[in-house]
Amino acid sequence: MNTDTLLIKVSDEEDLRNLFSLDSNGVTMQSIGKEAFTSAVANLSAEQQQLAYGYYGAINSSDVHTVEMVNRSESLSANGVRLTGYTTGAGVDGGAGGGVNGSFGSGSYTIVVMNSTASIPDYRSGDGYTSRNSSAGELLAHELLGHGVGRTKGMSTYRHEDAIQMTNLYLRAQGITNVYRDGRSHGSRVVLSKSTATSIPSFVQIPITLQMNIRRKGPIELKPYIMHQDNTRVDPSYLGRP
Amino acid sequence: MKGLIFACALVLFSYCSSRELKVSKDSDYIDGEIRLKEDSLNLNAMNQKGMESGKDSIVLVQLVEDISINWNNQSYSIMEDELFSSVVAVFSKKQKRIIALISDTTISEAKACSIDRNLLVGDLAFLLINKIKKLPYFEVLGVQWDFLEDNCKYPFGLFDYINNYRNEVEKKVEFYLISKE
Repeated sequence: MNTDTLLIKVSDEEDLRNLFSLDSNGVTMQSIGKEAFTSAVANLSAEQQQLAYGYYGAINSSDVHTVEMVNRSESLSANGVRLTGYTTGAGVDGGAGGGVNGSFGSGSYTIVVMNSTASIPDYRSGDGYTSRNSSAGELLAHELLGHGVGRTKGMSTYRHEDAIQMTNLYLRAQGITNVYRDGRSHGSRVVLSKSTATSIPSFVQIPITLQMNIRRKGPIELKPYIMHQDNTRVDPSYLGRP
Repeated sequence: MKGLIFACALVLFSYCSSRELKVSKDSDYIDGEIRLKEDSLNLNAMNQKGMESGKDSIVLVQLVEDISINWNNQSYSIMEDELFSSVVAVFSKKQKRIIALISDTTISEAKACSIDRNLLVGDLAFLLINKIKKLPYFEVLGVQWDFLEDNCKYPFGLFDYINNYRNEVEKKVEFYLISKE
């Protein structure tokens, strides 16, 4: 396992957490400024940055995406029942496999079971398959970003591929690189190749203009620079001087 | 406008309540409630699978000789009427027979959201069992159908799966129901 991508330093974690805050109404998320985003994700891995960008895009979108987080033992809200037909967290878990997303107007409605016990069997591990329960974070990325935002962005692949790809991006952002879902037990059940399953949906890819503003924070170790023309060695202490 | 809401926005849903069109003997709509009167459906006169009931959206579907349901082609659901109650009353006795109907590919006049063909008797048998026994799809069939489109309560992929694996669905449903007895 690559610890570079697994661990986020505490200070970086705080930066990221501080990026997400509720509005004064206690319900909607506050818009995120471009500079705040680029600063907060500066020291994260590429996968973590992409995942954060997915939420950045969803939060700043004019579309309304509603999320209901429940435990298995809890009842759904009236709206959750009306939209999905399920009545409890356990119902969603046993019926939909941990979470469900439904289109609503120009946005979507997501229900995530925080303590899902649904054992999803289509995680590829080596040449075989393994089953895993989905964490709340994995389900949220899959349902909200994959299905919900994918649909509002007009993707043709939001019913299946985008959701599977968001699951796999989430796993990699968590440093889990030895398994990936191939979609065999999801939606249309079309089995995705590894390269497709582990691709990143286009609407979650950080645009190059934004990427250019993401600069790593903290001290950067400079190495000696060898000039091509004459192999002159420039000492790091001279680099960056006017 | 902030795009993400982490709670239920009641206002948003005030105009999304399910609109089930119900019909009475005189085909008048009464505040969205079921008002089927005893003589509103003459089964003898409508003993063909999928015969339209008058000018409205209710179709009578005879799944098998002694098991029929009324299906609403606007709410895409089995009507909770006397026919349905009579099936519920005998379900445990006829469970095995109803499960076997999942393999019946006779075309009905019933339609559903999330699928662009008429439902087959087998689809309706599955939905009937689901309505009575509340089948947890993932638990029973092992597939994560987690996307609902445009207020349609039948998830994307469900009907295709039933159609492609009728015998398997039949066995899995039977196994599940027996395990719950």
